[in-house]
Amino acid sequence: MSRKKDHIPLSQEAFLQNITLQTRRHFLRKCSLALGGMALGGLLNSCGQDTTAMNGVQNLDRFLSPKSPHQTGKVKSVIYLHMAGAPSQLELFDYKPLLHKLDGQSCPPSLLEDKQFAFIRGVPKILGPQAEFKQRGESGAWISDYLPNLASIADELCFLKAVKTDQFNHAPAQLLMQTGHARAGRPSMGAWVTYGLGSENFNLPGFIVLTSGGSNPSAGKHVWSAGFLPTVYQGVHCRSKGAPILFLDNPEGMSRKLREASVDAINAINEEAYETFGDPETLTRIAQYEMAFNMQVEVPKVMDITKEPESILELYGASPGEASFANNVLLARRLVENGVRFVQLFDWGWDAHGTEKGTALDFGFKDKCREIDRPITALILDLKQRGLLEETLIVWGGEFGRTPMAENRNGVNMPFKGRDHHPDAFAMWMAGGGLKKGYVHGETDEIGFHAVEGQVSVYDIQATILHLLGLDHEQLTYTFQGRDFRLTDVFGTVIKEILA
Amino acid sequence: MLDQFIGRFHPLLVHIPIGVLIVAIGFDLISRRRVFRSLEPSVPALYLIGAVGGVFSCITGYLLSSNGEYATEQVNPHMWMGIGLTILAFFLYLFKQKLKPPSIFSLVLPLISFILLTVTGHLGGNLTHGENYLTQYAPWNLSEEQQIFHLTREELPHAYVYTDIVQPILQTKCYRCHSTTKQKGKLRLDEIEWMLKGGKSGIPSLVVGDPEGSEMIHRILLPLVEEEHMPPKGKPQVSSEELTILRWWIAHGGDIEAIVADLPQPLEVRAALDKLIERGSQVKEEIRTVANADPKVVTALEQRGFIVLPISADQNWLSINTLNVDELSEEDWDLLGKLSPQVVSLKTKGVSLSAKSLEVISQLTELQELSLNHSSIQDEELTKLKDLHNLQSLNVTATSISDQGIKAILDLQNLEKVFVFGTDVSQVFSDSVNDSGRIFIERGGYILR
Repeated sequence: MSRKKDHIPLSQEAFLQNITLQTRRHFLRKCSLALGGMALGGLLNSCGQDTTAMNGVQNLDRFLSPKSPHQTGKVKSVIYLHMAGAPSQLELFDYKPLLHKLDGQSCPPSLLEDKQFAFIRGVPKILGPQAEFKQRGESGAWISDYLPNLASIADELCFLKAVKTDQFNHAPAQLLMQTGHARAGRPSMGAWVTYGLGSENFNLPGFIVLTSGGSNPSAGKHVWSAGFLPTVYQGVHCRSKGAPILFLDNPEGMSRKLREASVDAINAINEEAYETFGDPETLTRIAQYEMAFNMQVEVPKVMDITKEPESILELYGASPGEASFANNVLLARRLVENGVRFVQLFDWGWDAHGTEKGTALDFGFKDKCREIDRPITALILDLKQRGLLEETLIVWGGEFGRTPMAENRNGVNMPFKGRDHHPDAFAMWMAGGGLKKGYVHGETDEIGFHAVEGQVSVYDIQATILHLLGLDHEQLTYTFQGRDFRLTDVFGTVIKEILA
Repeated sequence: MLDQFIGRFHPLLVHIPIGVLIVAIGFDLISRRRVFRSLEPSVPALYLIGAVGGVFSCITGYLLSSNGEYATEQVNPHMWMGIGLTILAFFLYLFKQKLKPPSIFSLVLPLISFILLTVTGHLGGNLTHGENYLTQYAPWNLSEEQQIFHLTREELPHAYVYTDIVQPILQTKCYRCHSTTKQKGKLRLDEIEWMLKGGKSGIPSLVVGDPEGSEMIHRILLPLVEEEHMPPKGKPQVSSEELTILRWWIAHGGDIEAIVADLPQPLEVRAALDKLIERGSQVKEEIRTVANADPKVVTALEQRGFIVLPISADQNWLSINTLNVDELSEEDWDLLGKLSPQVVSLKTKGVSLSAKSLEVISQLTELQELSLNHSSIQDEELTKLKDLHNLQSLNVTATSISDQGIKAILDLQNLEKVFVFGTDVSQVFSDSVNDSGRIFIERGGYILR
């Protein structure tokens, strides 16, 4: 975009406005404070430095310029499907026939001592699996009949059956999974990835978030925030119904040309402001304005799923105009196809406690499974046929698992079947480039309570995702508040066993 | 048992004669010069200490060798030379102390001792660490990777499972301590009969048909912290692919005669074999480097909106994406052509290809990955790709390509995957190609119930 001459009057006006704010009183006060401040700054060696500059993020042109990874990566983009609420692994991927036998019996006290449950009180009863399991494909992976379509492509999946977290409530657990820390404030995975690798499409955000299920995840927007990274790396929340991004379009009567001129003017003033004040957020703002202008054309084009042929809409089960998970998944494919680096989908409603029909394992939960089964399978097959599967990483999972015991909220037996939160062992799967296909890593004990082999932590998963992108999770750091931070904090090892 | 305990002090005690005798010989020789005459009185004492140290070294050495873990043909020269050196040291002590030998001996004998010392010491090192210990990482040796697995994908079905696949694994991970020159734990793994026999413990390393019951597998699976885990901690470990192969071979009879095509290959075995082949060929690939591309060309392309990126921060190989470029001009293609030594991946989408474009593409001989999806590519134009010998993956989805065009590129030696979703390539044709060899045509068109 060229810098036109007609914005000069605007910046002059801004300049004049600024100087009228400087009175004699201000001048005198500033002098004494400033002299002391300069001395202190000089002592602390912090004059003229800001965290962004310190971290080498100072490219006025494009924060999101694509960069090379530390080592050759296997995949270029990530589609993360987060089932907020924690889907029950015992009804989907972790087959425990012993639970059938023990169904209805009281839980042995050894499993309950020293354990803090979210809602279970007293002695709960064991609950058998509510779905039928079969071994699928050549790999023989156990997948239940709640996900029949996914079962048909079992050989594309790489399972992690013994994932462990230490948070048993939704918001902290979601934060831990997405940001590496159970408290809000840290950058999310997508932010780290776009910070490390940029994004390939100059006219689209590098990190896009799509939600479904009727609600944002419990941790709210923190799970896609940029934390202390420049806010240009924040996830852009798009909608699959109505305008894809709120407040992106021009208001009535404003042409694109006029918009371009005003963005130029605003950015010119911002650049001068940056030179005066050195606030790194100004750079972000400049980048965002430019990005938003480009996005006005590009986003509606990419997010318009009516352009897809009928066969593809049928494959996903997508219905244009609705706010659905299937639409979001199809959008994810389109976004990745157009060079978006990290697409995160949050689907709400997996918290199958069994307090009512909607959260019962054999009713609401089953419906949710049916809702996601087809689109997820379609995504993998669609990426495969377009030759994109080998350079995309798909991750599916929740924030923790569910207990082998039926939930008895406040010690009372509940009318519907449900399970409580279970951080000690749950299942996730990945698909795409760089992974062993039809592979299972990790195993839990006979009732799915503890891991017995191949236990991985949330940090290990994060390290592995970064590794597949070619990023070394220990090298991708950002200096803030005096120390280097990274997604995996001080933990995490790459799960080498699942790498192809 | 006691002899083993005492014997193990040999590597410790051996430092005494080595160190002291080197000083003795050194002082002996340089004290012949007037300047260092003052050192002469110390020489006899040094020879004596060295000799006494030598005696204890010989005793402990003998006890150590009696455990049978070392091959006698390797031990004997070392042993006799060590004994000889000790005796010679005693003689030198006596000469220097009491008798006055003819002057020729006073020079020759110390030199002979020195030679004996270095050779004995070197043979001792070989016994402990293996014969290539000193030269393994020598700068002139570094290009020789440990990779002795050399099969290509074509050779695989007819390769002998034991000789060509299992043995290289055992050779790199086990033979250093369990073959002809050394038998730790009295175990040899270099031939089937030894594997069936087992070692000191009596447990057979190999139980035909039963991988979990074979001690070899059991030890590999033990946690690394366990003392009995093999290979020992600190030595190169057996990778998961290698373990899969070993288990597979044992489960199907541990047969020497079997070829790969004879045995059933479950998914994980196929993946493991693929990985080994890849690693075998990758070694040659990974060593390949290329000069840096002309930064002016790269900048010029970037200003046009091209993404020109090294595939990783430490390599000069480039991947190019034209996603952000609306129209590629002739100049653009010219610039691209200048990067032909470095470009390994080119992704275009929706470009209209001119004769110039195809000419440039045909010259990108380092290309491994080419994506021309949604482009104007025609069947006849695909013949231009026949010089792209490094091409592994070709994406022509949503183009007007048909069987004819694909036929032209089937001869490319490294081609593995072709994506033709949304083209006119027929089911019949792609099935026949997929059944016959290494190339896989992905037609897509999946339908879910």
